[in-house]
Amino acid sequence: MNSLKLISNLLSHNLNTFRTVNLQQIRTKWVNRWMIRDVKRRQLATELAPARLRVNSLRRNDILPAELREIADKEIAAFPLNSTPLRINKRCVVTSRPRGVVNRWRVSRIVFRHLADYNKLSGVQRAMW
Amino acid sequence: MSRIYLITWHLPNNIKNTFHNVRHRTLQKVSLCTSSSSSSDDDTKLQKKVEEKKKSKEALDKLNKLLLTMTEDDVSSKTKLNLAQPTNKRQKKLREKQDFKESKATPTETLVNAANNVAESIGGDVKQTQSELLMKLLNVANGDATVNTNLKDLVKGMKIDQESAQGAGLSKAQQVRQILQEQSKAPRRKGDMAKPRSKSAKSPKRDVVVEKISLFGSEPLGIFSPNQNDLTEGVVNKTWNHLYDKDLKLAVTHPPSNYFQQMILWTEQKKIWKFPIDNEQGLEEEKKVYFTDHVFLEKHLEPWCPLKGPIRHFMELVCVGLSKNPYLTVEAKKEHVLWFREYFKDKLELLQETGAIQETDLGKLHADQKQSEH
Repeated sequence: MNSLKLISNLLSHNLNTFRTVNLQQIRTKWVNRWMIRDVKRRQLATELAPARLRVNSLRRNDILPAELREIADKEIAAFPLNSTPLRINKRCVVTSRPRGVVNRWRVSRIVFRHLADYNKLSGVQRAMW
Repeated sequence: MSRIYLITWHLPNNIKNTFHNVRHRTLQKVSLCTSSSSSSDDDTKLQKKVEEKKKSKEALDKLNKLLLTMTEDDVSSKTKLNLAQPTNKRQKKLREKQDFKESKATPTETLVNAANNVAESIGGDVKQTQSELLMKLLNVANGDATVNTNLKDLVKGMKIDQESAQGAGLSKAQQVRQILQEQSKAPRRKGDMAKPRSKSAKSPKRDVVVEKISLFGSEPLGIFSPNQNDLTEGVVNKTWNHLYDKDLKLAVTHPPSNYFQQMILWTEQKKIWKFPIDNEQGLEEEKKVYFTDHVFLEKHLEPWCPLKGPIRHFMELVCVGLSKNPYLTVEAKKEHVLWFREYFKDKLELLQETGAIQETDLGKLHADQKQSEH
């Protein structure tokens, strides 16, 4: 326990950083690291969405002076990178699968089929015609 | 006969049964008498009949009396029994305390009361006599002779406290010995004299000094504050407590026994729509807000925004956009507009340099601000 702490201290030798590398196992509800990353991005995006919108509105117009628009450009670039909505990716909520996701239910196609067969999805039926 | 039936209806069953048995026996006797009468002559028959009637009447009267006595007994059986009850020590203590408090009047008060009583008993001018008495009693300073005599009298009356005289210079052992001596001298109860203590088991107890300690007899030292808020709780296990409460709730609440109960739970948790379906379920707060607050947002621009120029143009467009937005609350829209105000405040110098804000644009607004400054 102590040795791990020493190692982590060595890694975080920079005095200004408050984040220390945690070599302890972290237990979460999320499936994998991509899912965790996605969750963090979504949280940050929702927090900073109104501010981003307002700064963007200053940029996207030809009424205000050009200097003000330039300043607004710089301001929006100063926002944290994970606050952009474009960085969010739609993964399966159950399995974290990046491809084959049915958007309305936010699950991958495999999970979708499984739930539909067990009658857990309202109004979803096997198609035959 | 009907009277008897009415009375029996109220009685308990065992008494009813005995009553019925008694009635049966009396009736049997009566019937036997009647049957025997038929064989004899007319005169004797009549006599016998009369006698039988009397007997039956007597029997009925007896029955009625029996019933009445039974009912009376039931009522009168609830007499008070003088049973041995334990003494209420707490009440006794409280009474003693109250008496003590009442008698805790200051000496001056007692003197005044006594003087009042004396004056009243004497008669005449009550107040004058009372005042004269008090003067004599309380003014000890007037005249040395009186002081000396009073002191002498006082000293004569006082008893010398041997304990207090020696108390300062005694060691612990001597104090203990004193206490033991006092205990041995103190008069013993009847029980002690009757049963001589010859048991060896009780002898070591005698060596132990028993001092009566009264917890609330003297004044407190003042080490601990009486306020409970000053006491800190110490370590608090949040998660533990939370889970414990959860466990308790689960133990008490039962899971839904059927689908109806589950649906009820879900509606209460707002997972399911309520019937009759209302499209605006959950928007009760919004219903209270009138539509003009949503649409007419220029009032938020009034205090700060210039009346002409690009900024005004821009802000008006912003207001138009917000008025068409049904998803935001009025507070959110107001916050949106005020954010722009703050932003333009910071960038004021730049705007003036570029020519976005000009003196003419502000117009009346600027004049008002200048007036307020002065």
